[in-house]
Amino acid sequence: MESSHLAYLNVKEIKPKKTGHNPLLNEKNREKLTGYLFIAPLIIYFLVFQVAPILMSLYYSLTVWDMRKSPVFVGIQNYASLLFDNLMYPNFWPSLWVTFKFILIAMPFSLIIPLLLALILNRKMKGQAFFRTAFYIPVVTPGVAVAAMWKWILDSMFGLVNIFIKNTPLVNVVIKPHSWLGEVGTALATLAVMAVWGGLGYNILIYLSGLKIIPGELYESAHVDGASGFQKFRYITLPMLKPTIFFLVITGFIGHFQVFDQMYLLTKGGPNDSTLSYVLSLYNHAFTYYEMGIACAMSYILLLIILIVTLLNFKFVPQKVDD
Amino acid sequence: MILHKAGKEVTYMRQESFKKILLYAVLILTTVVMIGPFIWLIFSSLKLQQDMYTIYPSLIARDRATGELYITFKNYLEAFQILDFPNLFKNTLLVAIINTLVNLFLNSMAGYAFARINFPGREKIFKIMLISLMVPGTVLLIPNVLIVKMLGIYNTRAGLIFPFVMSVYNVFMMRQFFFGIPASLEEAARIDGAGRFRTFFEIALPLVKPALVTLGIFTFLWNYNNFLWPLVVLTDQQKYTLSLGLGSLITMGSSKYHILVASSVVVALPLIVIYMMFQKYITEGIIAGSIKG
Repeated sequence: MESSHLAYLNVKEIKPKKTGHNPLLNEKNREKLTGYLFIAPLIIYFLVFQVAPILMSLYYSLTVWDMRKSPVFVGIQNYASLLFDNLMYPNFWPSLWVTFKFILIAMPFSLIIPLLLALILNRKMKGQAFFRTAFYIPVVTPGVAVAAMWKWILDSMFGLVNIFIKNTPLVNVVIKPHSWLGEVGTALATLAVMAVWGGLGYNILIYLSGLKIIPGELYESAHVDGASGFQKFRYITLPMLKPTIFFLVITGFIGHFQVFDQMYLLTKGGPNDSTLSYVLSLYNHAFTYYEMGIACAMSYILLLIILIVTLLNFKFVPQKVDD
Repeated sequence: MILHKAGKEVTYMRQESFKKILLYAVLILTTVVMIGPFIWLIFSSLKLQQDMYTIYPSLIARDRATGELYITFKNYLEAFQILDFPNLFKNTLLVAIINTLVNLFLNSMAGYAFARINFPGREKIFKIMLISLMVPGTVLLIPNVLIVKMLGIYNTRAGLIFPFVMSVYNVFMMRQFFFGIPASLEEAARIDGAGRFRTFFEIALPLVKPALVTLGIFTFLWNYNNFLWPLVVLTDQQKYTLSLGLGSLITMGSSKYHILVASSVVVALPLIVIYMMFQKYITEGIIAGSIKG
């Protein structure tokens, strides 16, 4: 804070002043005013759509409210019921568990596969740009269109996946056709695979940007020392990619934790609540059962979980020096 | 000695070319997995309904009676009858374009102020803003619906626009970009008597044009794709966006795949084309974003 004031004074001292009566004060004030004017829309936006909602949902999380009658203050009852009353809110813990399982399935694949592909693409091969572009297409495609596509491809009777399994020798011995999104055993894993597929191109780009800033001299000197390809990967690439990997873990965790669209569109949380993610459950409480108090309490618990993960990130991830 | 060395070189080269073939095989296989589904989707949309439902499919539609190959756009005609695509496009583009332009304008103004203009409390305000980046969107979902209701813009297109009319993250990015351009040009202009507004518009803004393009594309894509917010704010089908319209088709449950498949091509194709056109900016944007982290 102090440094900014000093900088402020310095700039004022250096700057040549125009002639006029009391120019210093005028220009100083005008500069201040312009600054506030420039950020005024942001301040208003911030107060209305960031601060007010956070405060409002804190208040409503302490009430019982169906949006028709006025809210009734009940203290921390919503939080207590969500956490401890399995009869009233049987979905709370299962939906958290579903979300964690989803993350646990998706995360390893969305970290390892893009890393391998980024390592290949980083070798300055011909057609690199083509592959990068192709892999990124699922990221920019509207999630709803992707959902429709998978619904068709995963159809139990005429979907391409099952037809491929049935008609391919060897494959049909190893895997049996499934109603991929319709069975308790496969639905969540299928959604997780879809998420890995959808985020692959993005993660590759992040890895490529991480690989780009590893100094080439490190590899050269390792080469002189006779290091093998694997050793170079193990002792140079991997340690140097640590911030990138952490970045992907954190953003992946936060993103996957809020998974909603595909579940809402393809399984509605079923079969047997096996894909009822946390945010889908939150959505149901708010817009199907009109339990605004409970939904707001769930929002706050979500915020808390994500804040903890983010703070862990700040604690353990080596912070890069700002340019 | 020389011969021996040459022999070694040959095996090395053989190893290298084998490795290369292997790597290309991996890349091509991945390409099939990544864009194969889209190709299947597009070709499926060009088949008659009865020829979609077969367990021995061909990529190009094949008449099940005569075995002849054909292409039909019948599914698209039907899809346009079921979903009001002109209206959906109009709504989506209206919201996405307004949101993108206003975002660019207001975010870059704020970003510029945080980078260049000295006013008391600047750093403090900026830090408070940054903290808000840790709050994920879904946490604000429900209270923002309440806010939108209080403002009287529930179930309107304005309700789609206002909650996302700015972005703290993009303000942060713009600030970084303004830091990246030399201040000397602006100072020269200011000595010549140009005010802050003129320096901002005429000198600073043109210099960060690539950044504006990148952020603009991202904002546009995000708005075009967004599903959850329109879902909770709109009830009137007349105001539906493309994502919401297609979403309602999916959740209606009737498995009329020929319509679903054609509709999703209509929704996805414009965006894929836009992506191809601006591919460079998107790639660079992501790389810049991740490095600044």
